[in-house]
Amino acid sequence: MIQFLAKRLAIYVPMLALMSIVSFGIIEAPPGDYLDDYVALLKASGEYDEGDAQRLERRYGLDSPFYVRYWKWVSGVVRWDLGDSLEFRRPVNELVNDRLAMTVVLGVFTVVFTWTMAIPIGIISAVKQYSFIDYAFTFLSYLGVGTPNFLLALVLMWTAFSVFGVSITGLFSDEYIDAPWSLGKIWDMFTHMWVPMLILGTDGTARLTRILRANLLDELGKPYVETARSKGLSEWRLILKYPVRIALNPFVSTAGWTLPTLFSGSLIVAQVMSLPTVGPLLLKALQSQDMYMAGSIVLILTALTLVGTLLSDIVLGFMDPRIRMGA
Amino acid sequence: MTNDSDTLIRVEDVRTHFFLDEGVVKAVDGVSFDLARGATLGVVGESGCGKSVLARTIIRIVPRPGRTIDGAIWYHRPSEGGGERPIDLASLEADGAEIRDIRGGEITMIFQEPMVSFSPVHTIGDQIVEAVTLHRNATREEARAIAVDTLRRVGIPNAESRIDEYPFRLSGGMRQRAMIAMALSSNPTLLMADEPTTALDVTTQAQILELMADLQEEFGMAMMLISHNLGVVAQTTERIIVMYLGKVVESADVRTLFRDPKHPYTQELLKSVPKLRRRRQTERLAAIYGSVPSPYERPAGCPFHPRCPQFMAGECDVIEPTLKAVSEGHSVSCLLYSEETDS
Ligand SMILES: Nc1ncnc2c1ncn2[C@@H]1O[C@H](COP(=O)(O)OP(=O)(O)OP(=O)(O)O)[C@@H](O)[C@H]1O
Ligand SMILES: [Mg+2]
Repeated sequence: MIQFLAKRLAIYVPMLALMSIVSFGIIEAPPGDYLDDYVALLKASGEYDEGDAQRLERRYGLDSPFYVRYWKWVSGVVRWDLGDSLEFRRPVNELVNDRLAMTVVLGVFTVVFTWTMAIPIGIISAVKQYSFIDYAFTFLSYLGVGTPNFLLALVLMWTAFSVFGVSITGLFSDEYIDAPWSLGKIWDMFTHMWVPMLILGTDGTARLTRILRANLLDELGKPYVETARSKGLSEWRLILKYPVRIALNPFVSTAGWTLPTLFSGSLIVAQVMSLPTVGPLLLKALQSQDMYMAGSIVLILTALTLVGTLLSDIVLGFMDPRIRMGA
Repeated sequence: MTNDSDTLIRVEDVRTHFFLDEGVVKAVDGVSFDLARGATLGVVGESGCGKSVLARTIIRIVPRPGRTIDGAIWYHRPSEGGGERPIDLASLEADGAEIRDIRGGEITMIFQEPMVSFSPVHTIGDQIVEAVTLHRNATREEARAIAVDTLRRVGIPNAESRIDEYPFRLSGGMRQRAMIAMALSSNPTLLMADEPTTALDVTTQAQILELMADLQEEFGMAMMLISHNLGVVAQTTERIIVMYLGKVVESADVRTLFRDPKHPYTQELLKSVPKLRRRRQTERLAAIYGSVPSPYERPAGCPFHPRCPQFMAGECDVIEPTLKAVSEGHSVSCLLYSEETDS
């Protein structure tokens, strides 16, 4: 297991390093120097003095070669110093912290929702292949895959507003938006969370249901299932113990990748529903060429994805001895 | 149905058909035979003649769209008092408690592909212990002890440590031994082995067959050995039934069958058995003329007639023969012999 994880890490760590270079490339990509603009902006507003100039020079290495500037940025990121936002004239981390937490919470909720829906539905569809219930779920899942998330969001919002007269945008009620964290605020967040969770999870649920159904149908015909049956195990017990267990493996190994699709998918939904996640912030940063903000968010999302993939590798290693032992 | 106390299983005119979109495959179509307690039976026939479906029919694990539509399988089940009680396995609910008690407990089965017949993500021990705890009144520790003991008896070295191995760490021969151990661990009254050696190399094949013959004697259970190879079956069993397209065409004890085969199909099968003492090893084995017809186009009359060297026009392609005794314990289903028994 340790050997297996070491091998995985040997891939992910360089990958992360590479992604940090790419992210820095994004920061430096816009024509003209972002920091020149920043200095110009500060000067124009009359807040600029020599102290600022020296501070910026030390922080970003303005006139140093690329690798020095990169190093200053990366070592800052590791210390959670993400640079300054041009747009908001505040350190990026102050802007990002809350939204990042919200994004991760929403992501985890959505994944949990997706799995608790998709696993039982997928199993039932495969075991009862071509039954009425299988056809019904198949129809629903095509509907789920076919409906764009933002459309679903709009429909739900409109329905909630016109039928129940409530606004379901955002993650908080008005009174809590700028309030400091409290139990009440957390509870308020959970009561709002289910709507975006439903919207973001529909597509994934539908997809995973189809995948699990196909995997399980494959496994159900394998000889080891017949062996288990010939032992006298009851049908549901043997299905859950053997083929389901194996059909879930590819599922687990892709769990890490669902994170980025969730982030990019959530971008439009978050925009439509004005969710306080990092998606809208990233969009705004890119529009206004607020590059330290954009680059940092991209790098953080990449890192989160790799962590997710590593976690699913660990789970997979526990589930499948062939992978754990390198067979 | 008789009360012959020696009978373990009596199969009566069993039919298992597959209802496919392309048509109905009559995989097993009116098979009858008896198997005595502790006796051995070989089932031979070319690929597709219904041997595997027959075994699956007995323990009621025929996959959909297959269904056992007719016939009875009288299993003389030992009861606690010491006597026995005949039950018709064909009439039981396929996923019901009673058949599941018998399946894997009293009647066990070994499959053809040892490489894929164990779950790859559970240890051998886990899978054997499961079978033991299902059918024997044993705690997990006791079940494990039984599993280790059985693994040892099938000739697996270091059974105490091998029991915790995953299947992919064992060779094909070792896996098949583990499979045999699993089938023996519940002390069955009948062990069915469906081509247990086909996937193995020749040396391992011989070892496994010898092992099975020894264990059959040691455990005193009945054994049904399925093979497309008459030679393999002859080494290990006392009686043989020969199947063709879902029907039994001949049934006799091994000596009689080899000395005096009646059915032309059996005669052809025998020609294809390699003889150990054959001098000219280069001599080619005769293959049976033609091939098994498509299961959807079962020939009229005797199903073997298109390939039969003794085909009688106007009879064999019209009249369907039935299984008839030609002598004590020897029956054949062929029109060549119909007058002898009819008179
Ligand atoms: N699951 C199934 N679905 C449809 N048809 C089947 C199925 N299983 C078996 N059959 C058909 O039933 C017939 C008998 O098959 P069976 O597997 O019993 O043959 P066999 O004698 O065991 O042959 P082999 O030596 O190849 O194992 C074949 O025509 C086969 O196509
Ligand atoms: Mg077979």
